[in-house]
Amino acid sequence: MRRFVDLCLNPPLNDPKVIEKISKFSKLIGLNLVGFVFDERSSENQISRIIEPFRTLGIDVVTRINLAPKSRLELLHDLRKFRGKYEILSVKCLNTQVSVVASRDRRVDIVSIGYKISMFNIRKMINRIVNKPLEIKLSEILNPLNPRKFVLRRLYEEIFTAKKNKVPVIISSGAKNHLMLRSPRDMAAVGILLGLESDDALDSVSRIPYSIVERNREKLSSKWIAEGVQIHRGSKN
Amino acid sequence: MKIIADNYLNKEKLNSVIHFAIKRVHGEQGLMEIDPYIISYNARSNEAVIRCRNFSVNKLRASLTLITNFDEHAISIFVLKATGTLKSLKKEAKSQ
Repeated sequence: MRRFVDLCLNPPLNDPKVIEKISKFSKLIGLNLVGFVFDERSSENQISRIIEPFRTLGIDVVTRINLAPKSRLELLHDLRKFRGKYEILSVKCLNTQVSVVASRDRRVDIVSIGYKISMFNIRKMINRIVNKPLEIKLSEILNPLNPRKFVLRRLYEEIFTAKKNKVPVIISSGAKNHLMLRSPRDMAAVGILLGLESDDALDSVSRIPYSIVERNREKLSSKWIAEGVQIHRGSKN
Repeated sequence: MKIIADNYLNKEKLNSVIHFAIKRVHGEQGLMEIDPYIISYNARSNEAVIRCRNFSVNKLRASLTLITNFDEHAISIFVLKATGTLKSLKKEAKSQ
């Protein structure tokens, strides 16, 4: 049975009512795991307070931070600063220089492409992304900054180029309130509308994000030393 | 499916919302292919059962997902369960 994931929930962190509504709706629409976007000022107390209503409903929560660096050096600085603190690290590529570094660096989990990037540069950027999942946010379509036609065209181009280069795609809601949440199968249906195959669309809301979370949790655990090397302590018997 | 709207919706209005959502994404041809029909609507719980063609269920889902407002009122539609037959839907509803 598939376990469904929405890796990007982005509500106001200081509004407990909105967070409670989101947690209830997440349960109703059948999410098993959600990714919560925090900012660099979020304290441990705030994080645990936000996670609490989800945990009581049996929904697993991962902490996430979105980075939007303007240069390569800024990206490397942010990665050093936040990698150990958050479970998911997403980079919004605002230029090709950042996309090249983000696609090569192991510390980056997910890449997304800024909405101001031209079609030519979208193709150029995705061509350089190797094995890093590309994130598509539904909030870009539901609350578009440009006319919806252009947003859909851009996302179609992103998915088309990603498919051509065998780049995995993740679909998440980017919800700021409960009205922007959508059920995982609905998000997959939008993926199909934008050109994904039906199996790939379902994987984009279940298998692909889940594998990222599992891998990162393993890396952040105290057992982890390096790729393929772990400490296992136990009795000699 | 569950509907959240900031104004009251009756069955006729819900029908127009669904038709508007499908037409915007898939056009008249899509509406013809999907052929949606509201089987039941509970205005209290804001839950409805919709029938559509089997092969166009993803088109209906995508159309309903992308709707955010109707007649200048915020609206949001979630598909809670999709089944092949009404019989299995009733069975699911009873078991929950």
